[in-house]
Amino acid sequence: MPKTTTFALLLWLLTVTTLVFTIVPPALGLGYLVRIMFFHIPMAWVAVLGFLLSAWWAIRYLRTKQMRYHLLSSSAARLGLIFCLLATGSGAIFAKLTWGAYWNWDPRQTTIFILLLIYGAYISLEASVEDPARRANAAAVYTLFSFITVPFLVFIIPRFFESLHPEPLINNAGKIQMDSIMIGVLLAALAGITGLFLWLLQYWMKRRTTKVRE
Amino acid sequence: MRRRHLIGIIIVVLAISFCGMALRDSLSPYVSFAEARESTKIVQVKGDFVDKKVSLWDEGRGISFFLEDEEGTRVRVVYAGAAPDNISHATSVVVAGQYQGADFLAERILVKCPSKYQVEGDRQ
Repeated sequence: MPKTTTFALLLWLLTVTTLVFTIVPPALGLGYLVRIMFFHIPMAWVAVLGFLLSAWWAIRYLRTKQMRYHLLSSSAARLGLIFCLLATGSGAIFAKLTWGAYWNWDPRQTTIFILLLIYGAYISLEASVEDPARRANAAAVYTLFSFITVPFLVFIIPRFFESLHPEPLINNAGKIQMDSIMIGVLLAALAGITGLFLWLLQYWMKRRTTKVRE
Repeated sequence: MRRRHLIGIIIVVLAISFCGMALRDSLSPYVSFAEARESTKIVQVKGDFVDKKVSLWDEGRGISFFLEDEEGTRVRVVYAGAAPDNISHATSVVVAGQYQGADFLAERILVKCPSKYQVEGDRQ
């Protein structure tokens, strides 16, 4: 990746962070705690994106049997898991500061915990198969099936249960109830974290492909 | 081969629906006041903080307030401690504890954060 792209991404992330700590107004009932939201939501979004891309490249791998697609699928799943962990962690801190407890087995917390177990198992699966072709096959089938659970665990189940978690950004009535400045900064943060995800993905791919060649 | 696939798919679907049903019962830790009355254990009740008013209880050693659960049951909650700072903004509150006579004695209070991200006061 060209240096200018890396530099632009870094600048973008720094700008977003600065905006979060400067122009974002304190929110009703949350005060400045609302700042965590600008990192927490993008992390959760990128985790879902990682799992989606992993499933997509798994299909590509199963069709073509090209190792490149397996590496892409595997890297996307691992990055998804890392961002899922970050979302869980930032969520637990957010929960402590607003609800009053880090962990309460709230439906949101239970479902993301299941998600962490599912994609944690992906890493063990990959590590447990020696033969590269068999490993790639097993990983592709597993991540494809895992993704079926993602819409349920992330989008559907939490909407049907009483929860301490705020309603999703786009609520059941299909409306976004957020201050205009906050929406602007949140969109910038979403773009920035997505950029970070893609940068890490290509960086990881470069490292893993040179390792394969050696 | 076809038949074997079909049997496999049926087993997978049955397993998933079984997991789903088992999950449904354990997914939410929150019960209603009616269920809390039946229970002898510490349970969590989630209710609407309808009055948005906290009173002193036990000669100022604790607090009390009213919660209304989803079924519309209104119960006085008592808590031997200070109210959480953000309770005045809360729409719903979770109380963990058990019944003590007609009151619900809370051991822990959890506050739901607002779902609307709006600005505090007026922006100039």
